[in-house]
Amino acid sequence: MSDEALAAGVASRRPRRSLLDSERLLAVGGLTPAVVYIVALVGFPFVLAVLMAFSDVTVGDPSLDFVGLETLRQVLEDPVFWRALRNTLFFTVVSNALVVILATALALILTKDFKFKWLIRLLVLLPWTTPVSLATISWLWTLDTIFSPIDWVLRQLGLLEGNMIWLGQPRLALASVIIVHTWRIVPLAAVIVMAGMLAIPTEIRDASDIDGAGFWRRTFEIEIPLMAPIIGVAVLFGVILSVTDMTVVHVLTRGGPTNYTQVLASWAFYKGIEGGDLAQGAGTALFLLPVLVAVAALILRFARRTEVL
Amino acid sequence: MAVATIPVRRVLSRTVLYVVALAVLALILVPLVYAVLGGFRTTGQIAERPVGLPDPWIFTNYLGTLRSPAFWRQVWNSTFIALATTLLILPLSSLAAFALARYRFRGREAIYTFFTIGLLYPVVAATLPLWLTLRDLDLLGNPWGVILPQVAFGLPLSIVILRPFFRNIPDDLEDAAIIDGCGPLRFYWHVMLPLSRPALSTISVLTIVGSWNAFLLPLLVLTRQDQWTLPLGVNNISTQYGTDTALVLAYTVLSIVPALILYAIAERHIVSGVTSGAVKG
Repeated sequence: MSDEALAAGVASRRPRRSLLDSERLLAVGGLTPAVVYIVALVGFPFVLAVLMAFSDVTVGDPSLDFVGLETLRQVLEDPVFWRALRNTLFFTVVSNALVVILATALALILTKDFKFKWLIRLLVLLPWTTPVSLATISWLWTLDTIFSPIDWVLRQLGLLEGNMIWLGQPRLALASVIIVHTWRIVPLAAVIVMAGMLAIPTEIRDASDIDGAGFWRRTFEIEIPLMAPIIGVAVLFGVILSVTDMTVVHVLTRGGPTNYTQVLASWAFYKGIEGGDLAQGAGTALFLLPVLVAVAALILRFARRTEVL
Repeated sequence: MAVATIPVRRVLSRTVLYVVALAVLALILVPLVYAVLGGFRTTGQIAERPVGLPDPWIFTNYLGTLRSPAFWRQVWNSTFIALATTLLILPLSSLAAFALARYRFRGREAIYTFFTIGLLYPVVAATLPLWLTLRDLDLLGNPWGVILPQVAFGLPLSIVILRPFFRNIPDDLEDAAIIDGCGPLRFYWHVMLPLSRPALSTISVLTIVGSWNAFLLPLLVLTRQDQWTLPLGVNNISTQYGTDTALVLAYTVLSIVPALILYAIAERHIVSGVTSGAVKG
Protein backbone atom coordinates (compact mmCIF):
# COMPACT_ATOMS: atom_id res chain seq x y z
CA MET A 1 0.00 0.00 0.00
CA SER A 2 2.61 2.51 1.05
CA ASP A 3 4.83 1.39 -1.80
CA GLU A 4 2.07 2.12 -4.28
CA ALA A 5 1.51 5.55 -2.79
CA LEU A 6 5.22 6.20 -3.03
CA ALA A 7 5.32 5.08 -6.64
CA ALA A 8 2.36 7.33 -7.45
CA GLY A 9 4.14 10.22 -5.79
CA VAL A 10 7.27 9.60 -7.80
CA ALA A 11 5.27 9.34 -10.98
CA SER A 12 3.57 12.68 -10.43
CA ARG A 13 6.93 14.30 -9.79
CA ARG A 14 8.44 12.91 -12.98
CA PRO A 15 10.28 15.56 -14.92
CA ARG A 16 8.17 14.71 -17.96
CA ARG A 17 7.20 18.22 -18.98
CA SER A 18 10.69 19.29 -19.85
CA LEU A 19 11.10 16.23 -22.04
CA LEU A 20 7.69 16.47 -23.66
CA ASP A 21 8.88 17.97 -26.90
CA SER A 22 11.67 15.53 -27.42
CA GLU A 23 9.32 12.72 -26.48
CA ARG A 24 6.88 13.70 -29.14
CA LEU A 25 9.76 13.92 -31.56
CA LEU A 26 10.89 10.49 -30.49
CA ALA A 27 7.46 8.97 -30.85
CA VAL A 28 7.19 10.38 -34.35
CA GLY A 29 10.77 9.42 -35.18
CA GLY A 30 10.31 5.89 -33.90
CA LEU A 31 7.05 5.25 -35.68
CA THR A 32 7.62 6.98 -38.99
CA PRO A 33 10.03 4.46 -40.54
CA ALA A 34 7.79 1.48 -39.77
CA VAL A 35 4.59 3.24 -40.87
CA VAL A 36 6.09 4.60 -44.08
CA TYR A 37 7.60 1.24 -44.84
CA ILE A 38 4.32 -0.62 -44.36
CA VAL A 39 2.35 1.97 -46.31
CA ALA A 40 4.81 1.75 -49.19
CA LEU A 41 5.07 -2.02 -49.45
CA VAL A 42 1.74 -3.20 -48.02
CA GLY A 43 -0.64 -0.26 -48.34
CA PHE A 44 0.35 0.90 -51.80
CA PRO A 45 0.14 -2.55 -53.40
CA PHE A 46 -3.23 -2.95 -51.71
CA VAL A 47 -4.61 0.20 -53.33
CA LEU A 48 -3.00 -0.81 -56.61
CA ALA A 49 -4.69 -4.22 -56.36
CA VAL A 50 -8.10 -2.58 -56.11
CA LEU A 51 -7.35 -0.24 -58.99
CA MET A 52 -6.05 -3.08 -61.14
CA ALA A 53 -9.29 -5.00 -60.72
CA PHE A 54 -11.10 -2.16 -62.52
CA SER A 55 -8.59 -1.92 -65.34
CA ASP A 56 -7.37 -4.07 -68.20
CA VAL A 57 -3.73 -4.27 -67.21
CA THR A 58 -1.74 -7.26 -68.45
CA VAL A 59 1.90 -8.30 -68.16
CA GLY A 60 2.46 -7.15 -71.73
CA ASP A 61 0.62 -3.85 -71.34
CA PRO A 62 1.13 -2.62 -67.79
CA SER A 63 -0.65 0.74 -68.17
CA LEU A 64 -3.76 1.20 -66.06
CA ASP A 65 -6.65 1.84 -68.43
CA PHE A 66 -9.89 1.83 -66.53
CA VAL A 67 -12.63 -0.34 -67.93
CA GLY A 68 -15.11 -0.10 -65.08
CA LEU A 69 -16.71 -3.38 -64.17
CA GLU A 70 -15.72 -5.15 -67.39
CA THR A 71 -12.81 -7.07 -65.81
CA LEU A 72 -14.89 -8.15 -62.83
CA ARG A 73 -17.63 -9.30 -65.19
CA GLN A 74 -15.12 -11.49 -67.03
CA VAL A 75 -13.88 -12.88 -63.72
CA LEU A 76 -17.41 -13.75 -62.62
CA GLU A 77 -18.25 -15.37 -65.95
CA ASP A 78 -15.52 -17.96 -65.56
CA PRO A 79 -16.90 -21.16 -64.00
CA VAL A 80 -13.44 -21.91 -62.58
CA PHE A 81 -13.73 -18.77 -60.46
CA TRP A 82 -16.89 -20.07 -58.83
CA ARG A 83 -15.32 -23.42 -58.20
CA ALA A 84 -12.30 -21.69 -56.65
CA LEU A 85 -14.56 -19.61 -54.44
CA ARG A 86 -16.51 -22.68 -53.36
CA ASN A 87 -13.30 -24.62 -52.71
CA THR A 88 -11.80 -21.80 -50.65
CA LEU A 89 -14.85 -21.77 -48.37
CA PHE A 90 -15.10 -25.56 -48.29
CA PHE A 91 -11.40 -26.10 -47.46
CA THR A 92 -11.51 -23.43 -44.80
CA VAL A 93 -14.65 -24.68 -43.05
CA VAL A 94 -13.78 -28.38 -43.11
CA SER A 95 -10.12 -28.07 -42.17
CA ASN A 96 -10.84 -25.64 -39.36
CA ALA A 97 -13.60 -27.83 -37.97
CA LEU A 98 -11.05 -30.65 -37.85
CA VAL A 99 -8.48 -28.28 -36.38
CA VAL A 100 -10.76 -27.34 -33.48
CA ILE A 101 -11.35 -30.96 -32.53
CA LEU A 102 -7.75 -32.13 -32.91
CA ALA A 103 -6.11 -29.05 -31.41
CA THR A 104 -8.36 -29.09 -28.35
CA ALA A 105 -7.73 -32.80 -27.85
CA LEU A 106 -3.98 -32.25 -28.24
CA ALA A 107 -3.95 -29.30 -25.88
CA LEU A 108 -5.92 -31.25 -23.25
CA ILE A 109 -3.33 -34.00 -23.48
CA LEU A 110 -0.24 -31.81 -23.57
CA THR A 111 -1.22 -29.94 -20.40
CA LYS A 112 -1.45 -33.22 -18.44
CA ASP A 113 1.60 -34.70 -16.81
CA PHE A 114 3.14 -37.82 -18.28
CA LYS A 115 6.52 -39.25 -19.18
CA PHE A 116 8.31 -37.91 -22.26
CA LYS A 117 5.92 -34.96 -22.46
CA TRP A 118 8.69 -32.66 -23.64
CA LEU A 119 9.50 -35.00 -26.52
CA ILE A 120 5.87 -35.27 -27.59
CA ARG A 121 5.45 -31.51 -27.38
CA LEU A 122 8.49 -30.99 -29.57
CA LEU A 123 7.28 -33.54 -32.11
CA VAL A 124 3.75 -32.18 -32.22
CA LEU A 125 5.05 -28.74 -33.05
CA LEU A 126 7.22 -30.01 -35.91
CA PRO A 127 4.76 -29.24 -38.73
CA TRP A 128 4.62 -25.65 -37.57
CA THR A 129 8.34 -25.17 -38.24
CA THR A 130 8.58 -27.30 -41.30
CA PRO A 131 8.33 -24.99 -44.30
CA VAL A 132 4.86 -25.38 -45.82
CA SER A 133 6.25 -25.88 -49.29
CA LEU A 134 8.71 -28.54 -48.16
CA ALA A 135 6.20 -30.33 -45.96
CA THR A 136 3.76 -30.32 -48.84
CA ILE A 137 6.41 -31.94 -51.02
CA SER A 138 6.75 -34.69 -48.39
CA TRP A 139 2.98 -35.09 -48.58
CA LEU A 140 3.18 -35.10 -52.35
CA TRP A 141 5.28 -38.24 -52.17
CA THR A 142 3.26 -39.72 -49.33
CA LEU A 143 0.21 -39.42 -51.60
CA ASP A 144 2.10 -40.36 -54.76
CA THR A 145 0.25 -42.41 -57.32
CA ILE A 146 2.85 -45.19 -57.43
CA PHE A 147 4.89 -44.85 -54.25
CA SER A 148 2.28 -43.91 -51.64
CA PRO A 149 3.05 -45.73 -48.37
CA ILE A 150 -0.60 -45.30 -47.40
CA ASP A 151 -1.64 -47.35 -50.42
CA TRP A 152 1.04 -49.89 -49.56
CA VAL A 153 -0.33 -50.37 -46.05
CA LEU A 154 -3.89 -50.61 -47.37
CA ARG A 155 -2.74 -53.21 -49.89
CA GLN A 156 -0.97 -55.24 -47.20
CA LEU A 157 -4.15 -55.13 -45.13
CA GLY A 158 -6.06 -56.43 -48.13
CA LEU A 159 -8.26 -53.35 -48.24
CA LEU A 160 -7.05 -52.16 -51.60
CA GLU A 161 -5.99 -53.52 -54.91
CA GLY A 162 -3.87 -51.35 -57.13
CA ASN A 163 -3.58 -47.69 -56.16
CA MET A 164 -5.77 -44.93 -54.71
CA ILE A 165 -4.42 -42.22 -57.07
CA TRP A 166 -4.95 -39.64 -54.33
CA LEU A 167 -4.16 -36.54 -56.33
CA GLY A 168 -5.57 -37.63 -59.66
CA GLN A 169 -9.20 -38.04 -58.67
CA PRO A 170 -11.33 -34.98 -57.90
CA ARG A 171 -12.76 -36.16 -54.59
CA LEU A 172 -9.56 -37.65 -53.24
CA ALA A 173 -7.61 -34.59 -54.35
CA LEU A 174 -10.00 -32.35 -52.41
CA ALA A 175 -9.60 -34.60 -49.37
CA SER A 176 -5.81 -34.51 -49.75
CA VAL A 177 -5.70 -30.72 -49.73
CA ILE A 178 -7.87 -30.67 -46.60
CA ILE A 179 -5.64 -33.22 -44.87
CA VAL A 180 -2.50 -31.19 -45.55
CA HIS A 181 -4.14 -27.93 -44.40
CA THR A 182 -5.36 -29.51 -41.18
CA TRP A 183 -2.00 -31.12 -40.57
CA ARG A 184 -0.26 -27.78 -40.89
CA ILE A 185 -2.62 -25.67 -38.74
CA VAL A 186 -3.22 -28.08 -35.84
CA PRO A 187 0.12 -27.51 -34.07
CA LEU A 188 -0.17 -23.71 -34.02
CA ALA A 189 -3.79 -23.95 -32.86
CA ALA A 190 -2.81 -26.45 -30.17
CA VAL A 191 -0.15 -24.06 -28.85
CA ILE A 192 -2.63 -21.20 -28.65
CA VAL A 193 -5.29 -23.34 -26.95
CA MET A 194 -2.67 -24.73 -24.57
CA ALA A 195 -1.68 -21.26 -23.51
CA GLY A 196 -5.32 -20.45 -22.84
CA MET A 197 -5.74 -23.63 -20.86
CA LEU A 198 -2.77 -22.91 -18.63
CA ALA A 199 -4.38 -19.56 -17.87
CA ILE A 200 -7.40 -21.26 -16.23
CA PRO A 201 -6.86 -20.85 -12.48
CA THR A 202 -6.08 -24.15 -10.75
CA GLU A 203 -8.64 -23.28 -8.06
CA ILE A 204 -11.41 -23.94 -10.56
CA ARG A 205 -10.03 -27.38 -11.27
CA ASP A 206 -9.59 -28.11 -7.57
CA ALA A 207 -13.10 -26.91 -6.79
CA SER A 208 -14.58 -29.15 -9.49
CA ASP A 209 -12.57 -32.06 -8.08
CA ILE A 210 -13.96 -31.45 -4.62
CA ASP A 211 -17.47 -31.21 -6.01
CA GLY A 212 -16.94 -34.63 -7.52
CA ALA A 213 -16.86 -33.75 -11.20
CA GLY A 214 -15.19 -36.56 -13.11
CA PHE A 215 -12.67 -36.17 -15.92
CA TRP A 216 -15.15 -35.91 -18.78
CA ARG A 217 -17.57 -33.63 -16.97
CA ARG A 218 -14.75 -31.37 -15.91
CA THR A 219 -13.40 -31.30 -19.44
CA PHE A 220 -16.66 -30.68 -21.25
CA GLU A 221 -18.57 -28.59 -18.75
CA ILE A 222 -15.80 -26.49 -17.25
CA GLU A 223 -12.56 -26.44 -19.21
CA ILE A 224 -13.89 -26.27 -22.76
CA PRO A 225 -16.49 -23.53 -22.07
CA LEU A 226 -13.81 -21.51 -20.29
CA MET A 227 -11.52 -21.95 -23.27
CA ALA A 228 -14.11 -21.00 -25.86
CA PRO A 229 -12.66 -17.51 -26.49
CA ILE A 230 -9.12 -18.78 -26.92
CA ILE A 231 -10.31 -21.59 -29.19
CA GLY A 232 -12.01 -18.83 -31.16
CA VAL A 233 -8.71 -17.01 -31.53
CA ALA A 234 -7.01 -20.19 -32.71
CA VAL A 235 -9.75 -20.71 -35.29
CA LEU A 236 -9.43 -17.17 -36.60
CA PHE A 237 -5.70 -17.65 -37.14
CA GLY A 238 -6.44 -20.97 -38.81
CA VAL A 239 -9.02 -19.34 -41.06
CA ILE A 240 -6.57 -16.68 -42.20
CA LEU A 241 -3.95 -19.32 -42.95
CA SER A 242 -6.31 -21.48 -44.96
CA VAL A 243 -8.20 -18.73 -46.79
CA THR A 244 -5.04 -17.10 -48.07
CA ASP A 245 -2.90 -20.15 -48.73
CA MET A 246 -1.92 -21.11 -52.23
CA THR A 247 1.30 -23.01 -51.55
CA VAL A 248 -0.42 -26.25 -50.59
CA VAL A 249 -2.60 -26.27 -53.69
CA HIS A 250 0.22 -25.11 -55.96
CA VAL A 251 2.66 -27.80 -54.82
CA LEU A 252 0.19 -30.61 -54.28
CA THR A 253 -2.17 -30.44 -57.23
CA ARG A 254 -1.46 -27.22 -59.15
CA GLY A 255 -5.21 -26.76 -58.89
CA GLY A 256 -5.86 -30.00 -60.72
CA PRO A 257 -7.13 -32.37 -61.79
CA THR A 258 -8.53 -29.90 -64.33
CA ASN A 259 -8.98 -27.02 -61.87
CA TYR A 260 -10.95 -29.21 -59.50
CA THR A 261 -8.99 -28.11 -56.41
CA GLN A 262 -8.37 -24.51 -57.49
CA VAL A 263 -8.74 -21.90 -54.71
CA LEU A 264 -9.04 -18.11 -55.04
CA ALA A 265 -5.39 -17.44 -54.21
CA SER A 266 -4.02 -20.02 -56.64
CA TRP A 267 -6.47 -19.06 -59.39
CA ALA A 268 -5.44 -15.41 -59.03
CA PHE A 269 -1.81 -16.47 -59.34
CA TYR A 270 -2.31 -18.67 -62.39
CA LYS A 271 -4.48 -16.08 -64.12
CA GLY A 272 -2.41 -13.06 -63.17
CA ILE A 273 1.21 -14.18 -63.32
CA GLU A 274 1.29 -17.37 -65.37
CA GLY A 275 -1.57 -16.34 -67.63
CA GLY A 276 -0.33 -12.75 -67.76
CA ASP A 277 -3.75 -11.19 -67.20
CA LEU A 278 -2.90 -9.06 -64.17
CA ALA A 279 -6.29 -7.33 -64.08
CA GLN A 280 -8.28 -10.53 -63.89
CA GLY A 281 -5.84 -11.95 -61.36
CA ALA A 282 -6.24 -8.89 -59.16
CA GLY A 283 -10.00 -9.04 -59.64
CA THR A 284 -10.00 -12.65 -58.45
CA ALA A 285 -7.85 -11.87 -55.42
CA LEU A 286 -10.19 -9.01 -54.57
CA PHE A 287 -12.76 -11.57 -53.48
CA LEU A 288 -10.44 -12.64 -50.67
CA LEU A 289 -10.91 -9.25 -49.07
CA PRO A 290 -14.50 -9.53 -47.75
CA VAL A 291 -13.52 -12.75 -45.98
CA LEU A 292 -10.39 -11.19 -44.55
CA VAL A 293 -12.15 -8.01 -43.46
CA ALA A 294 -14.81 -10.08 -41.72
CA VAL A 295 -12.15 -12.16 -40.00
CA ALA A 296 -10.17 -9.07 -39.00
CA ALA A 297 -13.27 -7.45 -37.51
CA LEU A 298 -14.05 -10.63 -35.60
CA ILE A 299 -10.51 -10.87 -34.26
CA LEU A 300 -10.46 -7.28 -33.10
CA ARG A 301 -13.85 -7.71 -31.39
CA PHE A 302 -12.72 -10.91 -29.75
CA ALA A 303 -9.48 -9.32 -28.64
CA ARG A 304 -11.31 -6.39 -27.02
CA ARG A 305 -13.88 -8.53 -25.25
CA THR A 306 -11.60 -11.19 -23.89
CA GLU A 307 -8.49 -9.09 -23.49
CA VAL A 308 -6.39 -11.43 -25.53
CA LEU A 309 -3.92 -9.88 -27.99
CA MET B 1 -17.86 -46.52 -3.39
CA ALA B 2 -15.92 -43.55 -4.57
CA VAL B 3 -12.70 -45.09 -3.36
CA ALA B 4 -13.11 -48.11 -5.60
CA THR B 5 -14.40 -46.41 -8.79
CA ILE B 6 -12.26 -43.35 -9.12
CA PRO B 7 -8.94 -45.12 -9.85
CA VAL B 8 -10.62 -47.32 -12.47
CA ARG B 9 -12.20 -44.35 -14.17
CA ARG B 10 -8.96 -42.47 -14.02
CA VAL B 11 -7.07 -45.32 -15.63
CA LEU B 12 -9.74 -45.53 -18.32
CA SER B 13 -9.71 -41.85 -19.16
CA ARG B 14 -5.91 -41.87 -19.11
CA THR B 15 -5.90 -44.72 -21.60
CA VAL B 16 -8.31 -42.91 -23.89
CA LEU B 17 -6.12 -39.82 -23.69
CA TYR B 18 -2.98 -41.74 -24.58
CA VAL B 19 -4.65 -43.50 -27.48
CA VAL B 20 -5.91 -40.20 -28.91
CA ALA B 21 -2.52 -38.58 -28.33
CA LEU B 22 -0.69 -41.36 -30.11
CA ALA B 23 -3.13 -41.33 -33.01
CA VAL B 24 -2.76 -37.58 -33.56
CA LEU B 25 0.99 -37.84 -33.12
CA ALA B 26 1.20 -40.62 -35.71
CA LEU B 27 -0.84 -38.54 -38.13
CA ILE B 28 1.45 -35.58 -37.62
CA LEU B 29 4.63 -37.59 -38.04
CA VAL B 30 3.73 -39.83 -40.99
CA PRO B 31 4.86 -37.61 -43.88
CA LEU B 32 7.97 -36.41 -42.05
CA VAL B 33 9.14 -39.85 -40.95
CA TYR B 34 8.35 -41.19 -44.40
CA ALA B 35 10.54 -38.51 -45.98
CA VAL B 36 13.46 -39.04 -43.58
CA LEU B 37 13.46 -42.82 -43.96
CA GLY B 38 12.73 -42.63 -47.69
CA GLY B 39 15.97 -40.69 -48.12
CA PHE B 40 17.84 -43.73 -46.80
CA ARG B 41 16.32 -46.06 -49.40
CA THR B 42 16.73 -46.44 -53.11
CA THR B 43 13.75 -45.55 -55.26
CA GLY B 44 13.39 -49.25 -56.01
CA GLN B 45 13.15 -50.02 -52.30
CA ILE B 46 10.50 -47.33 -51.87
CA ALA B 47 8.41 -48.83 -54.63
CA GLU B 48 8.76 -52.28 -53.18
CA ARG B 49 8.25 -51.62 -49.49
CA PRO B 50 7.80 -47.97 -48.43
CA VAL B 51 6.98 -48.74 -44.78
CA GLY B 52 9.35 -49.88 -42.04
CA LEU B 53 13.10 -49.39 -41.67
CA PRO B 54 15.27 -49.31 -44.80
CA ASP B 55 17.12 -52.54 -45.49
CA PRO B 56 19.95 -52.00 -46.23
CA TRP B 57 20.44 -48.33 -45.31
CA ILE B 58 21.52 -46.30 -48.34
CA PHE B 59 23.51 -43.13 -47.76
CA THR B 60 24.17 -42.02 -51.32
CA ASN B 61 21.08 -39.76 -51.54
CA TYR B 62 22.00 -37.70 -48.50
CA LEU B 63 25.74 -37.67 -49.25
CA GLY B 64 25.11 -36.76 -52.89
CA THR B 65 22.94 -33.82 -51.85
CA LEU B 66 25.52 -32.63 -49.34
CA ARG B 67 28.17 -32.70 -52.06
CA SER B 68 26.04 -30.80 -54.55
CA PRO B 69 27.13 -27.17 -55.06
CA ALA B 70 23.57 -26.19 -56.07
CA PHE B 71 22.31 -27.27 -52.64
CA TRP B 72 24.89 -25.16 -50.81
CA ARG B 73 24.21 -22.16 -53.01
CA GLN B 74 20.56 -22.42 -52.09
CA VAL B 75 21.46 -22.74 -48.40
CA TRP B 76 23.51 -19.57 -48.71
CA ASN B 77 20.75 -17.70 -50.58
CA SER B 78 18.17 -18.69 -47.97
CA THR B 79 20.51 -17.69 -45.16
CA PHE B 80 21.34 -14.32 -46.67
CA ILE B 81 17.68 -13.44 -47.24
CA ALA B 82 16.67 -14.60 -43.75
CA LEU B 83 19.46 -12.65 -42.01
CA ALA B 84 18.97 -9.45 -44.00
CA THR B 85 15.22 -9.54 -43.32
CA THR B 86 15.82 -9.99 -39.59
CA LEU B 87 18.46 -7.27 -39.38
CA LEU B 88 16.02 -4.81 -40.97
CA ILE B 89 13.01 -5.85 -38.91
CA LEU B 90 14.72 -5.61 -35.52
CA PRO B 91 15.50 -1.85 -35.47
CA LEU B 92 12.34 -0.82 -37.34
CA SER B 93 9.96 -2.81 -35.14
CA SER B 94 11.66 -2.12 -31.82
CA LEU B 95 11.69 1.65 -32.39
CA ALA B 96 8.04 1.65 -33.38
CA ALA B 97 7.03 -0.61 -30.50
CA PHE B 98 9.05 1.57 -28.10
CA ALA B 99 7.17 4.68 -29.22
CA LEU B 100 3.84 2.86 -29.01
CA ALA B 101 4.54 1.39 -25.59
CA ARG B 102 6.14 4.25 -23.67
CA TYR B 103 4.67 7.47 -25.00
CA ARG B 104 1.16 8.84 -24.98
CA PHE B 105 0.07 10.78 -28.00
CA ARG B 106 -3.06 11.29 -29.98
CA GLY B 107 -3.77 8.56 -32.52
CA ARG B 108 -1.59 6.02 -30.74
CA GLU B 109 -4.26 3.34 -30.57
CA ALA B 110 -5.27 4.08 -34.16
CA ILE B 111 -1.71 3.43 -35.28
CA TYR B 112 -1.60 0.26 -33.21
CA THR B 113 -4.84 -0.91 -34.84
CA PHE B 114 -3.26 -0.14 -38.22
CA PHE B 115 -0.44 -2.54 -37.37
CA THR B 116 -2.88 -5.20 -36.13
CA ILE B 117 -4.73 -4.99 -39.41
CA GLY B 118 -1.44 -5.24 -41.29
CA LEU B 119 -0.92 -8.48 -39.40
CA LEU B 120 -3.98 -9.93 -41.09
CA TYR B 121 -3.21 -8.71 -44.58
CA PRO B 122 -1.53 -11.60 -46.37
CA VAL B 123 1.15 -11.52 -49.04
CA VAL B 124 -1.16 -13.50 -51.31
CA ALA B 125 -3.73 -10.72 -51.64
CA ALA B 126 -0.96 -8.31 -52.60
CA THR B 127 0.90 -10.68 -54.90
CA LEU B 128 0.04 -9.17 -58.26
CA PRO B 129 0.51 -5.46 -57.52
CA LEU B 130 3.63 -6.30 -55.52
CA TRP B 131 5.00 -8.10 -58.53
CA LEU B 132 4.20 -5.12 -60.73
CA THR B 133 5.75 -2.68 -58.24
CA LEU B 134 8.90 -4.77 -57.93
CA ARG B 135 9.15 -4.96 -61.70
CA ASP B 136 8.92 -1.18 -61.95
CA LEU B 137 11.62 -0.86 -59.31
CA ASP B 138 13.74 -3.34 -61.27
CA LEU B 139 13.89 -5.64 -58.26
CA LEU B 140 12.77 -8.82 -60.03
CA GLY B 141 15.63 -11.30 -60.11
CA ASN B 142 17.19 -9.60 -57.11
CA PRO B 143 17.29 -11.00 -53.55
CA TRP B 144 16.33 -7.54 -52.21
CA GLY B 145 13.06 -7.91 -54.07
CA VAL B 146 12.28 -10.67 -51.58
CA ILE B 147 13.86 -9.06 -48.52
CA LEU B 148 12.19 -5.64 -48.66
CA PRO B 149 8.57 -6.87 -48.95
CA GLN B 150 9.22 -9.56 -46.35
CA VAL B 151 10.27 -6.87 -43.89
CA ALA B 152 7.07 -4.95 -44.58
CA PHE B 153 4.90 -8.02 -44.04
CA GLY B 154 6.89 -9.09 -40.95
CA LEU B 155 6.83 -5.74 -39.16
CA PRO B 156 3.25 -5.88 -37.82
CA LEU B 157 3.69 -9.20 -36.02
CA SER B 158 6.99 -8.07 -34.50
CA ILE B 159 5.45 -4.85 -33.24
CA VAL B 160 2.43 -6.65 -31.82
CA ILE B 161 4.75 -9.02 -29.92
CA LEU B 162 7.16 -6.33 -28.73
CA ARG B 163 4.75 -3.66 -27.47
CA PRO B 164 3.30 -5.59 -24.49
CA PHE B 165 6.83 -6.61 -23.60
CA PHE B 166 8.08 -3.03 -23.57
CA ARG B 167 4.99 -2.01 -21.62
CA ASN B 168 5.65 -4.47 -18.83
CA ILE B 169 9.04 -2.95 -18.09
CA PRO B 170 8.35 -0.92 -14.92
CA ASP B 171 8.08 2.87 -15.19
CA ASP B 172 10.34 3.18 -12.14
CA LEU B 173 13.26 2.11 -14.29
CA GLU B 174 12.59 4.93 -16.71
CA ASP B 175 12.22 7.41 -13.85
CA ALA B 176 15.52 6.27 -12.37
CA ALA B 177 17.18 6.56 -15.75
CA ILE B 178 15.79 10.06 -16.29
CA ILE B 179 16.90 11.18 -12.84
CA ASP B 180 20.35 9.85 -13.66
CA GLY B 181 20.27 12.14 -16.68
CA CYS B 182 19.62 9.53 -19.30
CA GLY B 183 17.69 10.71 -22.37
CA PRO B 184 14.93 8.64 -23.98
CA LEU B 185 17.15 7.36 -26.75
CA ARG B 186 19.85 6.23 -24.36
CA PHE B 187 17.15 4.69 -22.17
CA TYR B 188 15.89 2.77 -25.19
CA TRP B 189 19.34 1.61 -26.17
CA HIS B 190 20.93 0.88 -22.78
CA VAL B 191 17.92 -0.26 -20.73
CA MET B 192 15.02 -1.33 -22.92
CA LEU B 193 16.85 -3.35 -25.55
CA PRO B 194 19.03 -5.38 -23.16
CA LEU B 195 15.99 -6.10 -20.94
CA SER B 196 13.95 -7.18 -23.95
CA ARG B 197 16.43 -9.73 -25.20
CA PRO B 198 13.92 -12.63 -24.85
CA ALA B 199 11.30 -10.82 -26.93
CA LEU B 200 13.87 -9.71 -29.49
CA SER B 201 15.16 -13.24 -29.91
CA THR B 202 11.60 -14.53 -30.27
CA ILE B 203 11.11 -12.08 -33.11
CA SER B 204 14.41 -13.02 -34.70
CA VAL B 205 13.61 -16.71 -34.64
CA LEU B 206 10.09 -16.17 -36.00
CA THR B 207 11.43 -13.95 -38.76
CA ILE B 208 14.25 -16.29 -39.72
CA VAL B 209 12.00 -19.34 -39.78
CA GLY B 210 9.30 -17.42 -41.66
CA SER B 211 11.79 -16.25 -44.26
CA TRP B 212 13.34 -19.71 -44.52
CA ASN B 213 9.87 -21.12 -45.24
CA ALA B 214 8.79 -18.44 -47.71
CA PHE B 215 7.72 -19.83 -51.05
CA LEU B 216 5.38 -17.53 -52.92
CA LEU B 217 7.46 -14.35 -52.86
CA PRO B 218 10.75 -16.02 -53.89
CA LEU B 219 8.87 -17.90 -56.58
CA LEU B 220 7.66 -14.60 -58.00
CA VAL B 221 10.84 -12.61 -57.64
CA LEU B 222 13.83 -14.91 -57.98
CA THR B 223 13.86 -15.68 -61.66
CA ARG B 224 17.49 -16.80 -62.00
CA GLN B 225 18.32 -20.30 -60.88
CA ASP B 226 21.50 -19.29 -59.03
CA GLN B 227 19.42 -17.01 -56.79
CA TRP B 228 16.93 -19.67 -55.74
CA THR B 229 16.23 -20.37 -52.10
CA LEU B 230 15.85 -23.88 -50.72
CA PRO B 231 12.06 -24.21 -51.11
CA LEU B 232 12.36 -23.23 -54.79
CA GLY B 233 15.25 -25.63 -55.28
CA VAL B 234 13.36 -28.49 -53.68
CA ASN B 235 10.25 -27.75 -55.68
CA ASN B 236 12.31 -27.78 -58.86
CA ILE B 237 14.12 -31.01 -57.96
CA SER B 238 10.77 -32.55 -57.14
CA THR B 239 9.45 -31.80 -60.64
CA GLN B 240 12.69 -32.40 -62.49
CA TYR B 241 13.80 -35.64 -60.85
CA GLY B 242 10.24 -36.83 -60.34
CA THR B 243 11.30 -40.38 -61.03
CA ASP B 244 14.03 -40.46 -58.38
CA THR B 245 11.81 -40.29 -55.32
CA ALA B 246 14.57 -41.19 -52.86
CA LEU B 247 16.80 -38.35 -54.00
CA VAL B 248 13.95 -35.84 -53.80
CA LEU B 249 13.10 -36.96 -50.27
CA ALA B 250 16.73 -36.69 -49.11
CA TYR B 251 17.01 -33.19 -50.61
CA THR B 252 13.74 -32.15 -48.95
CA VAL B 253 14.76 -33.46 -45.54
CA LEU B 254 18.15 -31.74 -45.64
CA SER B 255 16.46 -28.45 -46.55
CA ILE B 256 14.22 -28.67 -43.52
CA VAL B 257 17.07 -29.42 -41.10
CA PRO B 258 18.50 -25.90 -40.52
CA ALA B 259 15.12 -24.39 -39.59
CA LEU B 260 14.47 -27.40 -37.40
CA ILE B 261 17.71 -27.03 -35.45
CA LEU B 262 17.07 -23.36 -34.87
CA TYR B 263 13.56 -24.16 -33.79
CA ALA B 264 14.56 -26.98 -31.42
CA ILE B 265 16.99 -24.65 -29.68
CA ALA B 266 14.46 -21.86 -29.37
CA GLU B 267 11.25 -23.87 -28.92
CA ARG B 268 10.57 -22.95 -25.29
CA HIS B 269 11.34 -19.39 -26.11
CA ILE B 270 9.06 -19.03 -29.10
CA VAL B 271 6.11 -20.70 -27.46
CA SER B 272 6.34 -18.57 -24.33
CA GLY B 273 7.08 -15.41 -26.33
CA VAL B 274 4.17 -15.88 -28.70
CA THR B 275 1.74 -16.86 -26.00
CA SER B 276 2.70 -14.08 -23.60
CA GLY B 277 2.19 -11.62 -26.42
CA ALA B 278 -1.08 -13.24 -27.40
CA VAL B 279 -2.60 -13.88 -24.01
CA LYS B 280 -1.49 -11.17 -21.66
CA GLY B 281 -1.17 -8.12 -23.85
